[in-house]
Amino acid sequence: MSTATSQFPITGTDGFVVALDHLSRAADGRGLDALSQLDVTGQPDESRLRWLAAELPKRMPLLHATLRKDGLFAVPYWECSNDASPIPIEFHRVRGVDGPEASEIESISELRTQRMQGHRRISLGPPHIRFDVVRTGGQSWSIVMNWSHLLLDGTGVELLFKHMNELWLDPQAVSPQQPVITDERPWWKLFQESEACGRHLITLGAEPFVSASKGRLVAGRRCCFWETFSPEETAKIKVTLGKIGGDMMRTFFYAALAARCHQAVFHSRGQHKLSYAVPMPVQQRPKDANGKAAVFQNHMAMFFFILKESDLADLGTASKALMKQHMEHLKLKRHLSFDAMQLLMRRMPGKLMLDMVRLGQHGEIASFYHAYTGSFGEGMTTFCGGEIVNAIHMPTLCAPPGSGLFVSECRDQLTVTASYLDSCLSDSEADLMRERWRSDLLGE
Amino acid sequence: MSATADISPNTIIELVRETVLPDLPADFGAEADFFESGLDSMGVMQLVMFLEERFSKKVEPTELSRANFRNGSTLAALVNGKAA
Repeated sequence: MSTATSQFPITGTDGFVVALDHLSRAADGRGLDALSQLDVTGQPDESRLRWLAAELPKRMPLLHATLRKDGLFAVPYWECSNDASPIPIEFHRVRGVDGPEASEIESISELRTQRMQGHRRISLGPPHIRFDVVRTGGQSWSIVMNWSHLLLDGTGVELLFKHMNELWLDPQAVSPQQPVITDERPWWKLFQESEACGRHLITLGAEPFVSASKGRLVAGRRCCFWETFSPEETAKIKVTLGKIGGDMMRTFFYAALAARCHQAVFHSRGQHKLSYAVPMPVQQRPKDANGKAAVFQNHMAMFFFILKESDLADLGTASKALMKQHMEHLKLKRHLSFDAMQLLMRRMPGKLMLDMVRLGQHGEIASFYHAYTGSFGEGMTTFCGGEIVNAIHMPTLCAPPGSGLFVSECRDQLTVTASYLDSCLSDSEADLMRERWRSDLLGE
Repeated sequence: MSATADISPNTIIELVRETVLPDLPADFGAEADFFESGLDSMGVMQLVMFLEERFSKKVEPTELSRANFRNGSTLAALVNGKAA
């Protein structure tokens, strides 16, 4: 990162995340902090991991940056400080596992729950990440990164892990430079260019779509569970999906899967013939002069689709319905209009932005959230001296919508993760989602 | 496409340059990888639209694979109905 650059305007996607973070804090005082976990073979090298935690902020001052806004409708920006203090990192071992760590924990899941629920949660920002390293066995350990969605998205987290490994292998490795995203269009021009998006969102609002939160602003316990499929099961899933479409359709497959999993929940509530508003994030990551993708900030083109009950007959029908709508968006260049609207709305205070969105949509924002992050870390297989066994993202979300489904891949293993607030979805309803994804993906 | 001449890889590369990857170098070869040059899923979907507009090639969902969109040769083969 250039030492000369100290201010980074937020992206259009950041603006929406800032508003959602505001919503989350308004509900329970906690921002949109997520967890990501890497399971690795071998033993953690405490001194070198501490070196990494100290080195990152020297190279990436955004980790300590503060989000600022100079006027009510000014574009917020990240301002870097001179603070380059090490990223907090704690070392633990699971009870019964031998190791030098003084901190003994009952289980790694207990630690994750503490970080996610708040008993031992340390507020993020700044710094916007923190680490826990856990010795889980004689030849296994995990690193858990707690990260703020304000500064990072799932792909950015993977790129950060990847760069940590590059530094592990070569302490002189060049770090990615964060590009400064600017847009010189005046607000009235963005307003004009947002028209097609606005019309589409009004059409969307006319559909009676619902979310698990029923449009309510509610707090709740943050819950997350996942299923990792074995390489054999993952290969079987790819055969199933291959009958529907090619591998460039995976974003549509998994968005459709998220819709069908939520359909199972709503049907169990006796809510039939609903429509589902599906936000579709598509990564659009800028690169630096060395061709390295930006690590920080949220970089997504957003699309908004509607799936009706008839579109959700099966995974194939739903995937193709989404693809058809996506092509219509591209033909009408609505994605450019969405970009303009996001850039315009990033100026708004978070509450005002979401009030406007929810006003036209009966209190709702979307039926659910979902994302597909692809192969972890662009296919990385090792991390800080060990072989990666698995990698899992645990996003948290606010209500509305109160639930989401996220899909990732690592070492030929597919992981499906459900994230929800217990005020919006019960554990038994979450089980219904799991039953649906197993039946859709494995034919069980 | 049977009544017309095959679309060449160079024609495809020119289309990709015009529409989604404007920075492709002038000497970009028929076997050079579009994905390594920045093609992403968004770009692929845009290409699907342009292939239909320009060559009346309707890409089926099962043809939406990384292998078919990898380079000028594979994409030309797809447009010409000769995909592997």
